[in-house]
Amino acid sequence: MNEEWKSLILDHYKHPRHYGDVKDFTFASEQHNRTCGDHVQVFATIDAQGTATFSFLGAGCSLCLASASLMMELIHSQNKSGIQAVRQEFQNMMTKGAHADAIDTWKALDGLRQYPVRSRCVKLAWQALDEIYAQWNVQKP
Amino acid sequence: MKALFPIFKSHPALVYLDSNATSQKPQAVIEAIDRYYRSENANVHRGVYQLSENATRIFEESRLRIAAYINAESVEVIFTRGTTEAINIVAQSGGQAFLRPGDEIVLTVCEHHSNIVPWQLAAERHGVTIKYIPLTADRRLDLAAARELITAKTRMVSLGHISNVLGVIHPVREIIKMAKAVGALTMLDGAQGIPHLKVDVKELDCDFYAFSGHKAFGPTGIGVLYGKKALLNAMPPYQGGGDMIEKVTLQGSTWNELPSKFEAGTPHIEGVIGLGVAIDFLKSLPLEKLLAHDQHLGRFLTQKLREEFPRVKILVEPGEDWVGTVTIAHENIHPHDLAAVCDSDNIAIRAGHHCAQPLMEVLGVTSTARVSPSLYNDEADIERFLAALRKAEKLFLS
Repeated sequence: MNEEWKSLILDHYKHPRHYGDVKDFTFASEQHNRTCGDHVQVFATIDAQGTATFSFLGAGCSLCLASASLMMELIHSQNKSGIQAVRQEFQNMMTKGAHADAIDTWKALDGLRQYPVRSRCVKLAWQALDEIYAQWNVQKP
Repeated sequence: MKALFPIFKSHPALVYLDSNATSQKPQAVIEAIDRYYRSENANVHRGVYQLSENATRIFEESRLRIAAYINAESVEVIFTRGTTEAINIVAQSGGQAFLRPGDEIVLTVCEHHSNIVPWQLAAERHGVTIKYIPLTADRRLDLAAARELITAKTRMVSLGHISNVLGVIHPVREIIKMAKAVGALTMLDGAQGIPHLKVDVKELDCDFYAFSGHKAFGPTGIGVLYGKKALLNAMPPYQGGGDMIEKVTLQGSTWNELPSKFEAGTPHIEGVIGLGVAIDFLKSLPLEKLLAHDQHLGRFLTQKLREEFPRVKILVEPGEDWVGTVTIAHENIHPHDLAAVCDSDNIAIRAGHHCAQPLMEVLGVTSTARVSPSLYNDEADIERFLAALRKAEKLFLS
């Protein structure tokens, strides 16, 4: 992996963004990786304007937690359609790779794709986001 | 020894420390499989032409040599896909024949999932309860607790000969004695036993013994279920198909004799041939010396870890009843991250729950990293692993 992205991933692993417990969340999801026991919990708090603030908790490897932290940067303070766009972009990135002109956060996530056997680690937080998005679709905040 | 294993010619820099997952294969085993397909291939037990007769002879000679090696009769050696299938045969067919509502099965907390889940399925089907022998503080089986758990209600006791995570050789003779005293049947999961110990099923006096080829220098997809003849005869077939029948009519069928009764369909012929050669290879090895070799490497690693890596928790104490497996949990480095750093230096170790989630819970960890040495490893390999561990600490702790 490119050294620049490697250090960004390590930085997110050692200093995860938006990490912490939330009491009054609107939606939450906890995901487990059956192969290693890692787990990630994502909390979403939706305000009256429909803007979501996020935080997460978790125990896992560097790929799992760095992916969660990078995801936080991408979805924090976004509304529903913004979050949907990020989810779509993640799907595109996982299959085709990041755009040449993408921001560093995406390029770092793209770097994680070179470990296909650990794609579950990378996807764990994103699966929690999928579940939160589904909850948001059926339930008014 | 390394020279006997072609993988190290293909990957000269490879340090392979994951032999509890699967062993590398010696040249002789690879050649036997290659030879079978190049010049001996035909179906067995069917053809009346020379090629098929010859294939049948080579196939059955493998069974004879395997039976002789473990001191069983040849009809007591059933070929399976591996240890997992062998245990499933006993849990399902044996379950049908031997388990009654209210019976108890006794296992241990450190079993591989393949020696837990088949029994859970059987327990549900037959209204049977499962009990688990716990570990003592030094991660050995608690024999005092075993004495309490194995009672007149116990119908089956099944445990690993050697734990795949801890590398501890269980006191199977004592446990088998306890089981016999209450009239229970006994099964040993020998997946880790066969590659490390000379196995004599009569001397062990177990009723069933299961093992895989691939952990003992043989091919994948082939294994053995040993069972005492009278018990195998009392069990219904596991699968139906060709080879396992005596006579088939539209109204019903009768079963072939042992071992065919449990071998439905065309068998894994090259697997059996390869396993026969792997057993010849094992027979040619000084197993006691090799056990001492693996123990030495495990002790060497344990000592170095204690001296230099205070953040590494070593989950099993070396001992004479141990095959050199070192399972660790690092305070700050996830096992997957450690394994990835090792991999970037061409070192293969195992990270995860090792198909033993209940044991992980007992050990108080979600996953671990495991170094399992074998005859092709040396101290230099252990040094390479230690260097990778240093590198990982530098990367993740700085």
